[in-house]
Amino acid sequence: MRCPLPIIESAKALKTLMTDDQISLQSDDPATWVDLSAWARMSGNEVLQIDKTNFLITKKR
Amino acid sequence: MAAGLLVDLFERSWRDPAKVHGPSAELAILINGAKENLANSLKISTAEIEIVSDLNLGFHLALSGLLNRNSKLIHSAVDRKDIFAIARSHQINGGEVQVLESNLSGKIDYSDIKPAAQNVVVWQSCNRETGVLQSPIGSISKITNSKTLLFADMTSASIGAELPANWSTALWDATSWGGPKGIAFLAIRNGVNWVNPLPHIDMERVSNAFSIPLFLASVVALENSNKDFETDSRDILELNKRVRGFVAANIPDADIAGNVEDSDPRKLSISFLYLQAEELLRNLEKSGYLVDSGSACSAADLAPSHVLAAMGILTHGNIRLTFRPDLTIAIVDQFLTALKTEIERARLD
Repeated sequence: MRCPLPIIESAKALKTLMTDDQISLQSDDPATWVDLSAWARMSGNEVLQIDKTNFLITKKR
Repeated sequence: MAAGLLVDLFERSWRDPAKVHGPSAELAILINGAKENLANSLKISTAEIEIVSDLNLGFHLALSGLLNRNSKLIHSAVDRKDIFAIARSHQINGGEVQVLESNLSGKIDYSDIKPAAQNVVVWQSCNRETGVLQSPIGSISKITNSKTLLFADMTSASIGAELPANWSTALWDATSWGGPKGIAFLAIRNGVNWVNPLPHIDMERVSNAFSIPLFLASVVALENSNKDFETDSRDILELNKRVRGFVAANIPDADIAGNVEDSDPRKLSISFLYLQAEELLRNLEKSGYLVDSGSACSAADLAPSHVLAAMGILTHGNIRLTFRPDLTIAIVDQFLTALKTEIERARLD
């Protein structure tokens, strides 16, 4: 799955969750971390890079 | 206007200006006059100018000519890929490389550079993708170590852009002022320790194998751009602000690269969340607009713009706009309406 699909799918999934709930995302697209970070800055949510292909998203808004 | 002159220039420039015949001497005078005009516009001396036929070659000559195995090459994360290629080559040859990070606005802080002998620093006047400008009098001017060498990348600079006072070599691209492709101008400061990194067989500092008609057309294009530069710049700034204002007010989840105060108004890079650039570009083309992108748009181009990535700007859904003097408010407004429609349609899908 290539960007922006990981971001789109994560944002969709986040809508069904409560504040501070988390989503684990696995993606090997080289743009994922850059775009996930930018998305977090723009949307007010939090992201953490676990390793090269695994990311943790925390709903804040 | 310069394009219209090309046929005439090709007819007049086929001779070898090094020969003794009258027409050759006339051509040599024409070339020297053009060089003087160019030097005046770029605010350097004629003796410092070299003309090169390829921009990539120009980067190599300008930067590699300052390096040796003991040099520490310092460049920024938003520099052109040519610089990264030279840095890789320098590392392979045992040299040291330091990459300066960009902030969210695309600005580079050169005050982080530790004073050391043999530093070779790359400074970029204007970013080709985002238009973000680095000040020639900010932290870069504080690099006072007399042994530090500085390459000024002026390839996307606007007309009249200042060189840092401590420059060693510099490079301009004629296309940045509307000149033809295939001509670049390398400046090597008088007295700087620069060595041609290529094998060369004669006494010339740099090979003079360039297209004379393209060179003359580049200088004509520069003179033409100079004439209307102030009026054009003012009009283009208004168009740039109009696009920024429209996007901020009408298209949610947009990420604009760089502030208008610190950017060349001729360029604008905007990324839109939840959008594939490839699809947007195709739909805009159907509406009559050819737009560039820094996103990884095709299967053959998986890597997104390293400039946007370095700044922390969204790399997907990106468009790059270039504002030319002949653009009108009406054309820009029509484009913005099409852009908003296409983005809303794509996000619904």
